[in-house]
Amino acid sequence: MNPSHNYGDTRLHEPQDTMPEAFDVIVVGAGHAGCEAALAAARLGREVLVLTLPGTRIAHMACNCSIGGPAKGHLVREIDALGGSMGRAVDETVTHIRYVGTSKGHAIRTLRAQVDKDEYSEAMARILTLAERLTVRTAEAAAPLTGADGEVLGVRLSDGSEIRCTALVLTTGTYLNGLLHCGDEQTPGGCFDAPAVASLSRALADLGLQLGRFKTGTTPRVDRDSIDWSEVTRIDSEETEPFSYLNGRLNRPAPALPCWQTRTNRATHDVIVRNLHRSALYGGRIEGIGPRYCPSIEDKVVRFAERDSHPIFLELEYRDHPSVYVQGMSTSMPADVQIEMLRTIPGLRDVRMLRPGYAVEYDMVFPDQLRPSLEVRTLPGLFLAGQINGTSGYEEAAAQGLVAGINAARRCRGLPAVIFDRKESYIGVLIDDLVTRGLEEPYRMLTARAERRLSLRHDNADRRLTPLAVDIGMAEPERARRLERKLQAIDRERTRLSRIVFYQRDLPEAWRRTDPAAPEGIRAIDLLRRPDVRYEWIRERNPPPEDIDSDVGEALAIDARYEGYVARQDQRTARLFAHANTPIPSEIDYGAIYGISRASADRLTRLRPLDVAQASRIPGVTPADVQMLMIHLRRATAARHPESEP
Amino acid sequence: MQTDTIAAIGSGPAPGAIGIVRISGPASHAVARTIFRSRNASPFRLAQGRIRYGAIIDSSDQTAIDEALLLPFFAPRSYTGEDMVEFSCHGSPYILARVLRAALDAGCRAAEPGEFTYRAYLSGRLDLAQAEAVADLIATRSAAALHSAMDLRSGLLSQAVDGIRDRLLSALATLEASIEFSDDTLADSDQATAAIGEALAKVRELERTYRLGRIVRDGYRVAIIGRPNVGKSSLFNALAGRNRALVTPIPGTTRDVIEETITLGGFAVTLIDTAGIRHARGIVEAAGIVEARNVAAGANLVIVVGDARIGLRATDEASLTAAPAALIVLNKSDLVAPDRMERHRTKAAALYVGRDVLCASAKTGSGLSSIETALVNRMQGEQMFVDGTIVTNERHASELSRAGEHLRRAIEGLSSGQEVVQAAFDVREATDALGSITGVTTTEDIIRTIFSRFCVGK
Repeated sequence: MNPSHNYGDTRLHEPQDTMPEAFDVIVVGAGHAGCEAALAAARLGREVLVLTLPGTRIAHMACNCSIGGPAKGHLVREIDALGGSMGRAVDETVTHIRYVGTSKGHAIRTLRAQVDKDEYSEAMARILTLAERLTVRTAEAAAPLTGADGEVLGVRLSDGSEIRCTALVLTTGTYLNGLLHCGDEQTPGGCFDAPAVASLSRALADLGLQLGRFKTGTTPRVDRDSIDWSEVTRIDSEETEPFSYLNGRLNRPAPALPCWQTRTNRATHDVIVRNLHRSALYGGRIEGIGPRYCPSIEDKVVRFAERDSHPIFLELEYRDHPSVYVQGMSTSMPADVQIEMLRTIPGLRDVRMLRPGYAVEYDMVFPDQLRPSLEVRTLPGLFLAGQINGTSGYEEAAAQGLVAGINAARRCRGLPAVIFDRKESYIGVLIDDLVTRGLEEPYRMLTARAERRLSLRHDNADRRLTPLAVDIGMAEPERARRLERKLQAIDRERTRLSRIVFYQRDLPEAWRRTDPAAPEGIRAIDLLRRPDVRYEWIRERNPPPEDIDSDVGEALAIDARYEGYVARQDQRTARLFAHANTPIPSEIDYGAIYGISRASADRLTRLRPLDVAQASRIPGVTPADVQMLMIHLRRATAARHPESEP
Repeated sequence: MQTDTIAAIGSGPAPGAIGIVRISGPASHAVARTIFRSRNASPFRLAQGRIRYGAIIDSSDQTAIDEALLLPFFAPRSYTGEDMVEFSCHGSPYILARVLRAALDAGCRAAEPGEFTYRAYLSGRLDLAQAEAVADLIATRSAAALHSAMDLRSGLLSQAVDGIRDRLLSALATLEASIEFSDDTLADSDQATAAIGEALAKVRELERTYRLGRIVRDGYRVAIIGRPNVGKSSLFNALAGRNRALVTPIPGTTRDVIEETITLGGFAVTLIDTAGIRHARGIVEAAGIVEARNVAAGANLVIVVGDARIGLRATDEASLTAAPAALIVLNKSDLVAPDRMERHRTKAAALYVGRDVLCASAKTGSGLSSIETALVNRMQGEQMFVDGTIVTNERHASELSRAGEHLRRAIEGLSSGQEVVQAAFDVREATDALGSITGVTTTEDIIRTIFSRFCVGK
């Protein structure tokens, strides 16, 4: 593996030996979820302890070196808008970055970055170091300590010692009973070169939690210096804005590294089909459920037999180390087959494999046992975030970590949980899907999951979420100032643009209104609605009095262009969420509701939805059940206020 | 909770002396003030259970559609527990449909089947025993239950709609895959556009069957037009008198239209007598065409009546241009020599090839049976174009038309370089509209389809 530093070890703190130790919040795991959870809780004024396993790294990127892309880039921006750290760490360590989804629409357009994996770990470790009230210690957590009512009291370590806390956040990634598969070889472990943890899994099951087993895969790594560049297509990095709102809106010079594209072919597929019985997945050695959206190459070849070719991307994992991630080649074949497969691919005919790909199976906790605060329903004070909840992806993990950290801190102060509305953020969609719909396979964020996709954009995450961050104490003063300035600039510029009028004759032919009744002039703000009009065109002819950031014009243009569609989208959302304002009392007895099916009553009892709209999103709960529930609630209200009856 | 205002025809589909249109919801009193004008157009106050006499107004030209009685109710003292109004007017399906249309134009939504009862139920106005029956009705919103709970025609309809919806979900999955995984160049948006185009054609086809659906439900509408004094009213009375189903003459208040429902060959037929299509001297023929076209648009068939003594005139030609399928009847055959009449008939037949040109006398009754036979033939002809699936429900027709509009937009957007994400929204709205006919929802379906059809991911 990579030769550089290991931050887990350098940040060892010795416990004080006189007082029994206590923290407000303990975070188990220092991956992408753990880091955001710990930083959020510390920023909200809590004393925080992070426990990280011996031999693991802070914010380790165990799979590819990419962060962002459709829906995932949106999550990173939302995390940043809420005062999280992922976006800043990416900006510091980016090696390659591009806009993606531009041709699909403004709602999809976002950034996808590649980072240097070591630098990323270091950057996040530095952020943890600088955070006040935050301690990191290398230790293995063995079990939550709970009181008589299931409430969390602390955590027991594998050496038998105990640490007290008010809230415990578990972000265990793939480490719970992790098992690595490479062909017919099986090694216990959470990821390459790292141990697995068994006791914590057992402890959670003993506390009554329902566990499942999921699987994910990774790809072989190859040596950069063994690639034939004449046979692959080079893709260069772009000049883009930074990920974090704190780093301003000015485009930055394109980072140095390119990436490359090539493709599999018939020969590759033949090797796979011939060796299928040796794949861990197809040999029947993996029981865990893998994600449909991130299929192994075996899966792709079997399920899509009619396709001759699949795209492969070659991504540099480090600035100064030749390790290349072969994106698109996730596999659980034995190492010798992996080499044979790779060498059929253009550009890789003489490739040196540095490390084979492998699949990892791990325990997860079915997330429909959680509240929307990410607190376990039956164990007050215990929060779960990240892959333990069955999600995949660094961004999904970080988003949950942030929410769990915020709510763990608020619990310590007796404040109500912050619930993210699925109408307002991808974070809200993610958590609502997890706790309401439950999971059958690893969950990945997709833009298609958001009903208000046209409004949940990369460009407006700050406008959507930073006000909330300010309210709850997550926003740095600089972040709040930047938003304030931006909102004022947008307002001023909108007013200005609605006063500027262009004559038809001054417009390019294509933009003129042809109907004879059209007025002689068109307001600049209306001109912006046309998909082919750019804000810059107006700005060049009629510059604003003071210089404004590029995102102000962009925001105005997108707002104008989307106005009609957003209005329709919001009508549709109103139909879908018609019952969101009908809360369900927590003491409701679903078994006593007339006419509701047994199966639905059981599901509702288990999931305890907060309102009727959430109940209606639970799979298996029919519209008829929802109506019965509504009647029951109305009647209950009427019974409490008999004077309101006619 | 329920915040919109709904309207529906409260009496059954068969013509009766009195018909009722009901409106329920917070805006119902406001709607009543918009579409109802009291006698002498004097200002009026709504009071619980207090009946008012007046007329329903067509907002497009401020003319009266029909006389009506207005009966207001105040929440919670109404059937649904909400603010309500009921209009009692004449029972012709045509009149009732226009009153309903006026209510919809004033901001109401067409009520779904059983929705008034459902609202009554929601507000606790029904007891548990009644509630059980309603629960079954609500449960029929699921596609499977629809098949068993409703008749064969509805079952066929939901099959047809589900088929279109599946096709759209597949197209949507293609678009969504291209949105989420733009690196994988496997999602072909041209293919999606083509599939959406096919779906649109199917939607339009179904939507068109509503023409027949309305015939099945409300009767075949036959308008009698022609110049003044050719005997339109006599012909109307003669045909009606021989075949009278239910006597419900409705004096048109300002429109000079009289309707009557009769039975011919087992079909319900609504005869419409129009005022003479006048042709004042000096006014161009276009005016006549416009008027004939308006009448023809609201009818399934037009009968152009001419005078057997003089044959067709320029105005009649204008009418025939506007109503290409019209039947031509030369009336007053009793007043003209047979050879002269035959000359007019053959001339008309030669000029308007392929049309029925009939001679009749409303006065003596001769030739009336040949008109009836021609009408029955036409109605049977309509029936033959139908392969079994027809839309008879106004709400279904309006959802289909909504779906068609969204699909048209999506295709336009995709081919004019608009954002894919906007087109995907249009297709979602279309699948919502179709889903509301069969009672299913969209989001999870799309995601499932993406993954079953595409090899996507890193």
